[in-house]
Amino acid sequence: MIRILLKKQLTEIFRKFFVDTKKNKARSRLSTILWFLIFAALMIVFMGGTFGIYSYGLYPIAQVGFGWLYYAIFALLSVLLGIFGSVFSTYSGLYLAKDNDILLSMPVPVSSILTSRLLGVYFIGFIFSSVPMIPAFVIKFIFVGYSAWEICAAVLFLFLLSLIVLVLSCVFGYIVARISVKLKNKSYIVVAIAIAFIALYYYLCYNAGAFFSDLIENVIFYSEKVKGSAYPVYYIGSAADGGVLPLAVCFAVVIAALFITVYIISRSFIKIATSANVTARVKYKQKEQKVHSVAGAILLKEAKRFTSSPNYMLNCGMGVLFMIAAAVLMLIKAGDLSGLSDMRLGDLAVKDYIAVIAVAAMFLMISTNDIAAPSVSLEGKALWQVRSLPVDTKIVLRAKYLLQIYINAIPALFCAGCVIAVIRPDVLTGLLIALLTAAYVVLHALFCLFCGLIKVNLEWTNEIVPIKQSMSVFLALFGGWGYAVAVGGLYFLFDMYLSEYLGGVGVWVYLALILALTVLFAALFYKWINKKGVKIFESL
Amino acid sequence: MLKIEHLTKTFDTVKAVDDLSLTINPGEIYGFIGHNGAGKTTTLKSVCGIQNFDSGEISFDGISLLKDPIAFKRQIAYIPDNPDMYDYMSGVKYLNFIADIFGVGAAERKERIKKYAGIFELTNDLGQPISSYSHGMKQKLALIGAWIHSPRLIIMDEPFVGLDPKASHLLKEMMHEVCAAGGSIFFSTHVLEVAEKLCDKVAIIKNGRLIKSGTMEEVKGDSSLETVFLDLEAEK
Repeated sequence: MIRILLKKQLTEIFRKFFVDTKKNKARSRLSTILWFLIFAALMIVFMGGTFGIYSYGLYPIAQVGFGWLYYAIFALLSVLLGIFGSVFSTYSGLYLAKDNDILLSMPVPVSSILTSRLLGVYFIGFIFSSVPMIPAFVIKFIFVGYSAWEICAAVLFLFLLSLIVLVLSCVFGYIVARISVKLKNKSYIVVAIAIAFIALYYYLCYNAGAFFSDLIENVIFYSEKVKGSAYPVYYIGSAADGGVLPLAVCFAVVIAALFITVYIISRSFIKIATSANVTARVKYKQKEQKVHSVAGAILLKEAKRFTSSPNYMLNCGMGVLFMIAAAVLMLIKAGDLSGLSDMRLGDLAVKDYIAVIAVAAMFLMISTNDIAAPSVSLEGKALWQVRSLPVDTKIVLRAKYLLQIYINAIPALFCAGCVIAVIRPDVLTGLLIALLTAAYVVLHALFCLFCGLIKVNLEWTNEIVPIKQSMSVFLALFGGWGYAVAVGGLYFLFDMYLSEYLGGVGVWVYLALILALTVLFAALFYKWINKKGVKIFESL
Repeated sequence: MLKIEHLTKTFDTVKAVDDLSLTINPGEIYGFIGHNGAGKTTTLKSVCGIQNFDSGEISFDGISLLKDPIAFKRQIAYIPDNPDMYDYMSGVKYLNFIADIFGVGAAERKERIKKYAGIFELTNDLGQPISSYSHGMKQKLALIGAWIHSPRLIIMDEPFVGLDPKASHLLKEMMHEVCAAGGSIFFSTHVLEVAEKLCDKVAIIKNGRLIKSGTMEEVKGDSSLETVFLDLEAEK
């Protein structure tokens, strides 16, 4: 029984490898194998490679006899990654599984359902927690040396680690499930948590080098501090380093914790499984409702669609944060940049290059926000609604690109303002930078909608397909980035060849040319959307 | 008055609707009957402007769907068989969205939301997201959305599927009220008993072609609608 349930559980977790969610069809055996290989390669090359580099940076502390500290650091990273990777699948797979009702109605023991669910969670946790730990073992074995027992201890430690992750995932999953049913603005909170994790990740990556040097230089001080105030961490590190007693004690403690966790969950599983999908009840109060124009109502509908989905906000709106962060960073580093601005490299005026590169960088960040690209596909099965209402299709399409323009415009112009304030160009160049930014915000929104209209997919079952995995988003993103790179790169040619031919004209001529091109492209896309785009939308 | 003249719609090489003509007068409840895949939904979708058609003309009180689709759609409301709605909105936000599109004033919409949500016992759930609604609740919300702007023609695809007996009864009463006020109802159904009791006129469609239409008496005579329907289905 457990085998059957586990097979179902794993098929669900790895559904993407077995089912083409874009076409809603089963994949061929070959395609499934290829997807698994791609997944394995990504895990090994990117994740494993990253942690391999970290391990290489830290192995000197193991060389000088602090192997336990070396392992403790990677064990903590493994636990963090394992929990991050599996806590949400625990939450949805254990407590909010859609098939809990049907399984509970079948002649299946509750213990079997619970075991299969926990094994599914364990499996995911095992994969994620192994990613930092395996490179750590490999690097230490290669550069410091190993014994047969140390290899055995490493294997045992991987199991120990996965059990720690399982216990913590169950606990955190329970907390997430309990909090989630009480939250009203879940999407904003999910976005905030995801951004916090991303920020933490980049902070750690950015500071890893300094942290490693500091740790290597002061290894005795840190090791004493850990032993003094976080003894369990020392014990876990020692277990990984092959300490027999620490390994035995850690196993005993973790297995005991696992038994207690499973015991508590099994006692309350039916109650949790049958009540956890109750969402926070919003009490309806009858009140005067705000009246909107048709265009306003359609625009609000688009805004609500965007803000109700963390996937949509994170994948198609992150550029807003990039722009604000870049602008703030630029203000902080204004001193360094203004120093650069006055420099000349031979015939090249650095200030002009900074202006063009800043414009290209802003184009790159604006292009990251491709809200309009999946917006047509996101109508999905509810398309009948807008098609049956007395609304001009032009208004429906306008709302899609206007939302993107509104969301992009303020941070983009703020960023442009900071660029102008920091590099202090002449008035004309400054004006052109601002105008170009505004024009590109409009062009990219229109281009995204163009991509959304030529590559529509209404047959999705999971919104992540149009938001993240569709051709429309791919074209919009890379098309925008291509334009940004071209704008930056072409200036080198312009400055080298054309500028001299034109008699040493300033950077403003180039920016004016790009502005003219941007406006022209925007006009062409606008015309296309209002003619061909309307026809495409009406024939969906 | 809704006029459908020589409506034809083809999917690839298959004629889903073939030269169909119908007239629905004010005050009529018009039932549309046919087996699965007969072309009922295609016809209804074409009539409310969701789906383009190959040839024919559809008009309401002289307003052509092809020439002035916006003015045409202002007169009607459509409820599909499976109302996939904007799951990310709450019930009340959805109703306000529909009211905004049809230009229903603040006082009127408040009063109508109160009235119809009360009738369907949905008032307490209006603050909830539509994604948490059951099929029946979505169906009720779609009905309130249709009634909120007092349309002159209501087109419904299998409106009784998923509704509880009380809601079905209330819907029938509301349909009669619309017709008594000079409006009309055009709906498809598989439940022949419902059609027989509820409709003033009925049309039977088979393989995209209209095979019989008229008042209930004209269509069924002394037999039951079920017998007539099964006899027509058996004919080649």
